[in-house]
Amino acid sequence: MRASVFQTAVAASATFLLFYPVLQIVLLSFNKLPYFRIGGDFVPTLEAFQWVLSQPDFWRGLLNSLIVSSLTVVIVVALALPGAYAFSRYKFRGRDSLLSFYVVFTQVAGGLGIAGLIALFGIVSALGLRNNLVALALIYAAGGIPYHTWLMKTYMDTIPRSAEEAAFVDGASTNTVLLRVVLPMMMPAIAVTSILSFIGAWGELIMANLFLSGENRTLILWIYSLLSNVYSVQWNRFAAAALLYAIPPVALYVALQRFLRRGLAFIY
Amino acid sequence: MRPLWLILPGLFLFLFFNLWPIVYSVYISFTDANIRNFPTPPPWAPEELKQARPPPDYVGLKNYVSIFAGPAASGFFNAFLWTLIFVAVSVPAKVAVGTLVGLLMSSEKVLGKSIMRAFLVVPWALPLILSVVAWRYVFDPAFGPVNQLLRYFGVGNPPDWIVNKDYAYAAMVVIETWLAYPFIMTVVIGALANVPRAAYEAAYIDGAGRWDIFTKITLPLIKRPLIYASVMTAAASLQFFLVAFLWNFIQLYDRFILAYGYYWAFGSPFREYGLAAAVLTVSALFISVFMLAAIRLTGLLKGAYES
Repeated sequence: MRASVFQTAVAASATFLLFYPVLQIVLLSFNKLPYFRIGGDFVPTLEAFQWVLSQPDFWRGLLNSLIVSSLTVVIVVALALPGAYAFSRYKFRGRDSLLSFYVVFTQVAGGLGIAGLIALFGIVSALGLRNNLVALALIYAAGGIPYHTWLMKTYMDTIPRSAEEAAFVDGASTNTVLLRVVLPMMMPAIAVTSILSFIGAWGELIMANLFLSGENRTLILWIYSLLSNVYSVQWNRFAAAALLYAIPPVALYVALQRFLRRGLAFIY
Repeated sequence: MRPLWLILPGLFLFLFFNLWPIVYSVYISFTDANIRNFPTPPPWAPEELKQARPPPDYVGLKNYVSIFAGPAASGFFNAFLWTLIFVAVSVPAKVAVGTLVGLLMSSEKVLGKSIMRAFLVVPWALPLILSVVAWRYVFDPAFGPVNQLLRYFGVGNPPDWIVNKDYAYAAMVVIETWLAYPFIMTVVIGALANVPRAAYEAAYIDGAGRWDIFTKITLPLIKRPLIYASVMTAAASLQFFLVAFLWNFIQLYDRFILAYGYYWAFGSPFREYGLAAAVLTVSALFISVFMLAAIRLTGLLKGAYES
């Protein structure tokens, strides 16, 4: 079959139309005026980005977001990796039921998360852990445990045990085997878990909005506050702020695609 | 003994911050928790404060009566109805756009598919708040292209898509469609990727028309995956909340069930946590029943395990 000009044109127009909102926000962030007229009066400048980078709230939010997201990654990997090892390499009572519980919970987590929000607010307040970045990271990590334990377990199942067994036969200690043999082979799965956890924590808004205040507010809360006063902020500055905020998760998403091609496609 | 020690720390964190709050929220729905008695002060708070804020009282089914037959009933019913309308409108829209783009991206006659695909999955990769910002500009009453176009075509007084309740709701349908079409598109592309070209060529040689090829070959191939994708995306529409929260919550909180629950807890000045917990419990139950019924009716899991 030969290429059709008509179908290609339809596909290209559809793509353009669907991509248009994003294209526009990118152009707007480089525009001199805070809006476009139809037909365009695009005057490229970096002023909007300069404004964002001169805002103390931007830098404070960025730092807080980096802290919360990195902590979340560390906690998820530190807790899910040993769990995955146990599920993959040992047989014990309740193993299968606990694993299926994890998988089922992963499927329904979204809606139940909002349902549990009120009690979580009560628990966190009663423990005096509101406005605490570490506590927020623990909460984020807790939500990721079932999925990431399952993900890393599934990946570990594909790694043959022979390497570990050979190391044990050579007289290596358990810790040595785990650190020198298992850990390096698990790196792709650890990377995927880290990326997904980071993106999740970076983009979480509802709990951050409920728990954090003042100096501890994360970057997304700053963007959110701009969105609520959109009439007092110029659109080009606002677009620039949102784009800068989006760079880390989008870059990580692109990186993720590489790992998915290297044998981790099962996560979708 | 050892494997349990590897699992327990993670399991404990999950149970404490995820599962326990869900159970505890159900309990709260049977209490009169509100701004005066909830959250309870921390253990180290001074005695006077603890006495001033006694824990919430058990009130039985009062909150449930209130949302089904009491003062909150009409609001809850309204939110429920609007949520169902949202599902009924947004799901066909998502499936239509996603399928159309998916078919185009599977067509041998379209050039430059890999580049277009990279652009088309962008809504998937973007953080939600950036997408909402982009759409807020598209629908901006003064500067947005939608209203500029409307004015260009002679609509003197184009609507306010943010402040007007009904137009804001319509914007929600558009945005949800935009957010979800990459999922449907990917499912369609995946379903059509394994079709042997010979099947099409044979049909073509046998004299089958385009429409015949579509209904006899393409449609049966994508039907099952599409049903699966529709159920998943219907669940997403039922749980629609974040975009409404970001768009203009004051106008949209009573049009989506989860938003309505959130509003009673954290948006209303009285902070009726007990009532809100009842709303959210009923909503979560409804969503679970819907998912189970959909899985049953469509034989979803069977298909999921086969493929």
